[in-house]
Amino acid sequence: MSADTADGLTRLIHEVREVAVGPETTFDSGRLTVSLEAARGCLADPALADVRLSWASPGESVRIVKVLDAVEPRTKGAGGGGIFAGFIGPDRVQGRGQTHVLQGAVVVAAGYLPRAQEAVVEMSGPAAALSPLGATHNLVVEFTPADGAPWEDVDRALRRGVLALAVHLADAAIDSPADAEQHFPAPRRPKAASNRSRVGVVTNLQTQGTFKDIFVYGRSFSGGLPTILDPGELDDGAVVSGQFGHPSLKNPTFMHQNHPVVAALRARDGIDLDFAGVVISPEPVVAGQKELVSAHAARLCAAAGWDAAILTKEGGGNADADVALKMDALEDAGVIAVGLFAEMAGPDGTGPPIVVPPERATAMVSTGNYDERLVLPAVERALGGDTVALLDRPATDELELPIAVVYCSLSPLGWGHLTCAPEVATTPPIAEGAAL
Amino acid sequence: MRVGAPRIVPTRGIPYPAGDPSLGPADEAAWRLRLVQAAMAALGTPVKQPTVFEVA
Amino acid sequence: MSRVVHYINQFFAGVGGEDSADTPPTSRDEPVGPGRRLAQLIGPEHEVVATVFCGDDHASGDPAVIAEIIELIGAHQPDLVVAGPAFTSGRYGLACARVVAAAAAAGIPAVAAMHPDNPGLDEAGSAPVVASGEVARRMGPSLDTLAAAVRRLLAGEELTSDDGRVGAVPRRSRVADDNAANRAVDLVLGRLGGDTNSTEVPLPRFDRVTPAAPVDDLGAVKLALVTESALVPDDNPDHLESARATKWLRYGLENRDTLVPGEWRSVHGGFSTVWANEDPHRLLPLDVARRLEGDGAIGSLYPAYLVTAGNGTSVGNARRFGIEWAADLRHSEVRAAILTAT
Repeated sequence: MSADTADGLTRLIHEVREVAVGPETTFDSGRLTVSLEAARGCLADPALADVRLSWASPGESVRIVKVLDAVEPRTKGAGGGGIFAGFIGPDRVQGRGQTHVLQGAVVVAAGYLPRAQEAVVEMSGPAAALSPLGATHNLVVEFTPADGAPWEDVDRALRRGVLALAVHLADAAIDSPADAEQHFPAPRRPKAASNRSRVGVVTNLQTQGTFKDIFVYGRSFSGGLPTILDPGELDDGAVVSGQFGHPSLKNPTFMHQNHPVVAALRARDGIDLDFAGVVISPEPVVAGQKELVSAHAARLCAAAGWDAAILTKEGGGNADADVALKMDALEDAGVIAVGLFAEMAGPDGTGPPIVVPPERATAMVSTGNYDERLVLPAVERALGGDTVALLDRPATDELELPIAVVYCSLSPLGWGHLTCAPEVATTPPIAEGAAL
Repeated sequence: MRVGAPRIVPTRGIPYPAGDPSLGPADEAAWRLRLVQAAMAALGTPVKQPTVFEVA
Repeated sequence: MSRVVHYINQFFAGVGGEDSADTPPTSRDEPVGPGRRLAQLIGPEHEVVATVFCGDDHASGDPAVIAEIIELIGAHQPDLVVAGPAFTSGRYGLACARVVAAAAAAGIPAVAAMHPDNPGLDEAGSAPVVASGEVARRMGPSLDTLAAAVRRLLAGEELTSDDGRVGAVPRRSRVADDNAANRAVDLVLGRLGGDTNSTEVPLPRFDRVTPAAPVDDLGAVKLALVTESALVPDDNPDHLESARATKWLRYGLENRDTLVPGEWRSVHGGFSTVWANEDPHRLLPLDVARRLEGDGAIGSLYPAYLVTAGNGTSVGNARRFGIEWAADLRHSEVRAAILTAT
């Protein structure tokens, strides 16, 4: 084994096939039982007066509204150095060794926070397949803030509590045999003998202040500069989301743990490309800073010897600029750039698809049209709230909503299968006078 | 520039296009005045394509 | 015999120019203006049974007027609605596009004609639009194209680019075989392999905005403040959306020299509104605009501001707001505007 592959990350996958509530938190032969008392203990905080926990499983007539963050249960186990460093584990760079993954179960926070935009997950019906949480057993955490607690404290308590609960669940599986083991070598160095192209991913994180912030090793990434991460660091929870805007275009912690482009690059690593690593970048709100971090990110990729980069964003039209600027800067530096964009083409799909397109780069992947409308059938039970904020209707009603409200439905990290295509074959534009 | 508006005055941040919270109240009001004056100067200037008018 | 109803503006109806831009929807039981030539061109088997016209400001300023127009059109039980040609006229093009979109939505086949750069084009939605020339001087060939399109539609055929069809072809969500991340890797590998063209998203065509002539006498003109920062009265009385706005609003500034914190609030969902709510002038510079008005640097300030939320707003809606704002402000004799953009 070469030095490049000796280290890296091994994921020990424990598949959750059944969930229950019981006196103790246990994992046995695919059955995850959670102790509500222990779970509430994870979330105990002066800012939270009360938390309520319930399972929402695939196929049930359940809708989760006001969805905030979602976290996959993971743990490094005893001596592993901790996970979610900066929040749960100590301040230590992670991404190597073994990580236990409780696959098929997710801890989901749901409820009102200021600036959060209405976000819906369906456990059955036509929209269930549009969200990753439609296919997982979700332990939904609802909460009542303590009297007089500042919302910032409620947000903080919830984030720490949900992460702690996720670790608590995963800890129950440490002694179980894994259903699968996946080994991912650390990225190869630029000088490694290979004639394959070096391809990496640049992931922009929406950093716009409280309730719209992303944390890297426990610190707000607002005001930061782009940096390089080892993909294993994402597995181990280096990136935690506190960003509750744009439900269809957000990247919850779960998505960073299971970064789809990282997964796609790992699948081709050593076969038809060399996976070069991950660059994360903030999405500043000031135009000049957008240009600065974009130029900086492009230099990092070039310095790390990348031949090509895939760019991802988080958030609405303004975040298109963060992808477009980086694509152009990369192409200028001789690095091929492919950007993932959701289209904003209007309900009838006739508007220009990209708010801020690149000027020189041209390779784009579509994750669907943000404005397309959906009808969600009535459900028996709703979690996260009694009403749907956008429509002011009971949360269990039949609802007509834009797909933009469905959690991760247009995942900028490329989780989904949606794309857009012209309704009929396109024809070349008509030159002035040609038709007359 | 990218969206094609003919006359553009750059500001200091998306959340405060007509202000700058990092300044004290008096300095911020003075900045806002210069910003609006720059916009007025832009309105009085012939342009043929998207043009950026920096605040003096 | 097929029944055709023709929609035109007040100018082509011979009612008047800008001074008559407020003409309400009106119906005549005969071809009018360009409709007379159109009637000849579409042949004896089809008849222009009526003409409905409306002033440009009226038709483009208030979407409710379109419903009135459709009602007048519907009374003639048309087999097809024809609108324009609107050339590059923004308000007329917007009205024609909305008329054909509304007719199509009501189940009446419809076609409009305008120049491909007309800012109203996208409002036609999925209703077909054929190209016209840039200016009314090109009326003749524009009517030839339109009449040919009318004959094809009345024969039950579809319009293609060969018929001069312009405008966006609707893009629809589809479920791909692979997820977007894997497709991105495929695209990277294709590009690394020398493919320079593949993409899932065609590069959009952006508006070429013709810059307005400079205003050299600001001390003598009325200036408006407009914004897409979603600044509204604190209780958001008209329920402006925080994202994907479908409307814009007007709030009075009469007898106000400043915006008092606490009385105003930004409901924009795309940025932190903490700073704006501390001091609303950070979004709308009323304080300094009043000062410049007092100094005589600005002739007068328009006594209201126009506002929407520019957050995830479709380009189609944003374009419509722009046309409506321009019509509204022009009608109020505003000659300059400062837009604070977030």
